[in-house]
Amino acid sequence: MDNSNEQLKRKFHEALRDLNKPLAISIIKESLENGAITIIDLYTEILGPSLGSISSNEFNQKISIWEEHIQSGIVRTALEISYPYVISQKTQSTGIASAAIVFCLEEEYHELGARMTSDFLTLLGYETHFIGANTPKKEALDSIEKLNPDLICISVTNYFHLTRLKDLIALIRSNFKSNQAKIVIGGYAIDNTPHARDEIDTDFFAHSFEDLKNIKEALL
Amino acid sequence: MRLAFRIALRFLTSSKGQTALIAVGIAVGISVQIFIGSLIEGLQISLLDATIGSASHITVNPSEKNTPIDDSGDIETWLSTNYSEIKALSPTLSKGAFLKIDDVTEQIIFRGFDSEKANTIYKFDEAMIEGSFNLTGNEVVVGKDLALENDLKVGDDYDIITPEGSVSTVRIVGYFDLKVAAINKSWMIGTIDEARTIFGYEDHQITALEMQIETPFDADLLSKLMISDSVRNDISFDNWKAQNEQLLSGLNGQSTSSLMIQVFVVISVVLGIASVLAITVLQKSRQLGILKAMGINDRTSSLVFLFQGFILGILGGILGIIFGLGLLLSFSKFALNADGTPVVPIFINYSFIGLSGLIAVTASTLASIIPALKSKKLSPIEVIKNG
Amino acid sequence: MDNVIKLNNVNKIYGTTIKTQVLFDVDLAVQQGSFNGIIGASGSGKSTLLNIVGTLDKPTSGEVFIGGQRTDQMNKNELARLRNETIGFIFQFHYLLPEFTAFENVLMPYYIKNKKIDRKMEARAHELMDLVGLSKVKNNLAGNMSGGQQQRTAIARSLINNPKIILADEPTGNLDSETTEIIYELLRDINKDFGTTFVVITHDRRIAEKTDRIIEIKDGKIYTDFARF
Repeated sequence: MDNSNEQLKRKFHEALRDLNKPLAISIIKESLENGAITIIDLYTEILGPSLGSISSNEFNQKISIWEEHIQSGIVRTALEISYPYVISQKTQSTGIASAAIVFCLEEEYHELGARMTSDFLTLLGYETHFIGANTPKKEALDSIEKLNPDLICISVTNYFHLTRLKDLIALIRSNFKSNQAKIVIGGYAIDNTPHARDEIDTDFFAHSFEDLKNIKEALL
Repeated sequence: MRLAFRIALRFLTSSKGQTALIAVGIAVGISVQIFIGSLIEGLQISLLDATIGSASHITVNPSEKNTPIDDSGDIETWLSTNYSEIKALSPTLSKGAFLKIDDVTEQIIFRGFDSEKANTIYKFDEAMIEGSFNLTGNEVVVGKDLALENDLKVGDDYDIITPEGSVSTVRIVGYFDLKVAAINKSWMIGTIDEARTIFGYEDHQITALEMQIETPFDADLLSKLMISDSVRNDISFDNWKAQNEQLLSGLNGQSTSSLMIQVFVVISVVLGIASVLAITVLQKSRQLGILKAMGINDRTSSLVFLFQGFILGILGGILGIIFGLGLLLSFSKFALNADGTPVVPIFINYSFIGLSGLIAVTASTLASIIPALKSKKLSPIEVIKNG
Repeated sequence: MDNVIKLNNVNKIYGTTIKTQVLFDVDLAVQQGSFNGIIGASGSGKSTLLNIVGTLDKPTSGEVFIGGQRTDQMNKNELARLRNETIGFIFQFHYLLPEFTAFENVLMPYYIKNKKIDRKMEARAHELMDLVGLSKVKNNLAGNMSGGQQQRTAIARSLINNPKIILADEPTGNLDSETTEIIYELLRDINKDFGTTFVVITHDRRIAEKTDRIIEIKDGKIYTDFARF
């Protein structure tokens, strides 16, 4: 990480800690407007780690839940204002565009990681549909049938949902046997649960832009 | 032990109504048992008292009928020194005779007694309804019926004719009532010396030697012993049991049926308690399951029910004794003869009542063995699984 | 850390003529001081598993070790002692003795163990009842208390002998969500403060997601098993 990004990160985190939304958003807006930071760096080095610290806080309870919610709101706004830059920075797809869907499991409300993932996929040239948080099993299956994606990305933050993930993957595989779609799993729960990668039967795990890029290349 | 007792006590006190019902159930059974037992015992005692209370238990008779027993003093000494069981010993000279009243003669039995010795058997002084039993010389007392039917007067002299034909004069000084019609109709009692004079017997001669012993039911055994001990073959020993076989078999039958009733009452009490306790095991199976899950061992869980039976037995026993005594008391107070005496004199035998209480405790403890075994078999998982 | 519970190849078959296999070759190791959740559909075998761990039920085959002792071969009285000293139970339906007061219920496992109660122990029982917030209803008969109070009594009771393990089957199953939260926090505090190992069956997502480890039982087998540090 270069020096200017380091400085930006510190400033953003301070604003986040102080729950100063106007300041935090203007810092991000300014950096994007003057091209001081790319979307990939912004997500990977600044917003992603912020989310991680909020998630891990859940287990240590150093700050209260309402503070967490304000901080998540600030990150959400930062992501919203980034979207125009996502479109402008995306690589032009070569030939037929591949499609991807991104969603979270039922009763999983932590959607920001999934949002960043969908922006990364857009940057990589995928025609990406962000379905969002709390997606019931039936809806997820329906969207796969209608949108016929090449990549199915599922984000899991709360480790309890790992147990449901296993069921859902089995269901997708049995319902779409002829489908060539690949399943990509990521999220805080995968990174922080020791045996998760052994237990979950998926095509790919992803936890960064680099991982997604590698997956894209592997599929070409 | 203490834990099991505590749990048992708590189980019982927490459902007071049920506990009271079981205790009353036991109490009713035990009170019936006490009542029947005491009633029959009282009945038998009064019957026996009427039969042999004022009668000879063992009688020394001459081997040959109608002959005198010689040297009666020797027999008396021999008996009283060798048999401590004898509580009364009375020589008698009794013979049939005729009482002359005006123109008619009445057949009587003249009984010559040593008044003091005879009194211990027949209690004549208590039986006198007129005059006193204090005889000297030719004074006699007669049975009530004999006096009334023949209009005999106290203070008057009457002639007695022996079967041999000799005539003697006696003076009637009183009437007695021994509550036996045959005696009241025919007995005339005088001193043994007067009898010897009337019938021409010598001083050492009598017709019979009557005795009462401590335990009347041993009369047959004791008389057998006397027979084998006796060196004389001119006398025989007769006991009341041999002469009252019918009465005895009646008494025996009564005892047996009384025992049967008591046994069945106790059995029904035991079955009742056992079935109620078996139900309480079902009622408390949840609690037992919890206790077993918490680590109570099988012995303690069984003891809980044994203690329940034990406590119920004590409660029921005490209540039963109170009920039983109450029943006996009211029976002797309210079931009366015309003259105000109880129909059946109640005999309260404390050791019998104590035994009944013990039976209540033992029976209900025994009755709790089945539920105790059941509770031992109960597995906590059954309770946990079935909610 | 040591495994306070260890199951090797545990099978459970019910019935003799019509056999129903409820558990299939279950292997499970639970670390001392951990807080474990068991989830699964009803009929999955999770309660059977918990009952086998709690020595209330015996496996048809396989080995069960509690605190290093093999339990599947112990006799009934040895198991009773082991349960009394090592395991505390909290069940969905509380399972208190309605004839006894809350206070007496709490002391019951100690009473079973030591036959008598001393002052020190009474003080501890008072302390535990304060801990679960029952100071005011100590002397109420267990049968006359609300569901939440009964459940807290059951929790205090499960702690009285200072057991290594507490097994709970749907401990908040029939309680409202607010009480559920309070009970759960209580269990968590006990886990932290006393280092007690917890194995908790729950269908409540909010509880499951806060455990250290979630074991999902499906059709008598461990289907998923996720732990976090």
